[in-house]
Amino acid sequence: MRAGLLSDNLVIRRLNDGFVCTATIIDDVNERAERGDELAKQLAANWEYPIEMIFLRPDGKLESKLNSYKDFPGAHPDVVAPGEQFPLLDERVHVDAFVRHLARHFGQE
Amino acid sequence: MRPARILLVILALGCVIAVLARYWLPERKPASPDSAGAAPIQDDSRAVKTPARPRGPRPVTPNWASDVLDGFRGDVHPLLHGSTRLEVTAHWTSVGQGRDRLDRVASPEVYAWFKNLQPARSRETYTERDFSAFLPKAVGEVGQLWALDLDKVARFLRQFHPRPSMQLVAAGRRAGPDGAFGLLRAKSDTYLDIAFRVHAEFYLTPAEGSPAELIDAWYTPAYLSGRVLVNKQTGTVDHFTLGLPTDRTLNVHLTMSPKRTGFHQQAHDIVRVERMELTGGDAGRAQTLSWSSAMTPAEADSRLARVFYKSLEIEWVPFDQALTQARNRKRPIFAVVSWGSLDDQSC
Repeated sequence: MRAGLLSDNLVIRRLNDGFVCTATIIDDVNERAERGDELAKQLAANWEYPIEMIFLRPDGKLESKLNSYKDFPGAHPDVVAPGEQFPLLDERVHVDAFVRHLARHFGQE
Repeated sequence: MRPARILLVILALGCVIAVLARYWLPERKPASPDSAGAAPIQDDSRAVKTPARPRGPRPVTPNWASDVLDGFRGDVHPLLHGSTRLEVTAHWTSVGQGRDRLDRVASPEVYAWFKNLQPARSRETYTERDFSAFLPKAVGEVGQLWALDLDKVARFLRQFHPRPSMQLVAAGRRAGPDGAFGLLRAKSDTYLDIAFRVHAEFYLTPAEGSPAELIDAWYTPAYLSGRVLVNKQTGTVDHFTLGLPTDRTLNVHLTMSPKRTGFHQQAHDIVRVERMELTGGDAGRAQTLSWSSAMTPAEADSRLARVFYKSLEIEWVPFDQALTQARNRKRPIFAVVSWGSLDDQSC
């Protein structure tokens, strides 16, 4: 994801222009959630292995989410992936899926 | 056509389809993140005795920009005109319990390769010739970036282990981004403070003599970073450190691949290592210096990380600020929650 989708110029621009972006590992989210952190509890409740991209409204309520395996079928041929993943030959497929998701939930650019 | 002949034709067609599927379709085996990361592997040529780039996968390209220059490539940098004899001590603690419990699936003999790591040489003396590898061709302004000579950096990594690789090829992962980059963090009339970041991994499989030598094992630090403190007046290096970051929960990726035995089940783990560090000279000296121009260590780390990962061009905000910023700026939050870190090689 970091070398493909999250390194795409269009995706970077859309995220920087419209969102407050944050990234963390699930261990830290769980730890914060146990301490009562509002955002962490929301993220922990919606996380699935291995990478969950979670969109929240400005008030912290869940808007939508994308899972790296379920919503972006296909994995780079060098990467081991669980389940029925097939070799991804064109990473634009993931970018297109991501941009469509943004359009559906947050409107066109 | 007689039934027996029809059956024969169907069987023959079935065989042809099976053979084609075997070679053309990706291998599909169930795997679970709970089973120590055991997962199928595609056929590739990485599981060789000595990880080698020519037959390996195409690595992820670092996020080079035009402002990244070539570093010094000569023998001894003119800035190091004095005689440096810096004794560097190696510290390397054992791997902690992994999140995916590789210790439960690996044989004790193989897991010992990870568990019992110790520095190849606890002390080693380096000279101006060695430290020249970390310097730029010509010194510019604070923030200047340059690419280090990978072979010369590897000389330092051999103090940890005899088989470092500057090319990240551990099986089952995207290869790279490879590289080692330096940054001029601070300067004054008398000193230069150089920060650097290195991506490297260690191939742990013993060369020969072990029944398990067909198991490929890699130890991949999140990254290694450090500093070189150059005394411009004496032309020497007064302080050097190179080590694994410990500000994150998990900082080393372990890979075990039995592919050369005929089995394709890999195992991966992410673990914490408390200390993996080379250090020499007077660490306290740098704290007392005043700089005419400087960036903070955190800024330097961030800038060096961006040379490796284009995804760091996204304006990530610290987790504990995200909700406040979203409310203040009336913007939605995009939160990436992952199994491993996005900005290092532990995942």
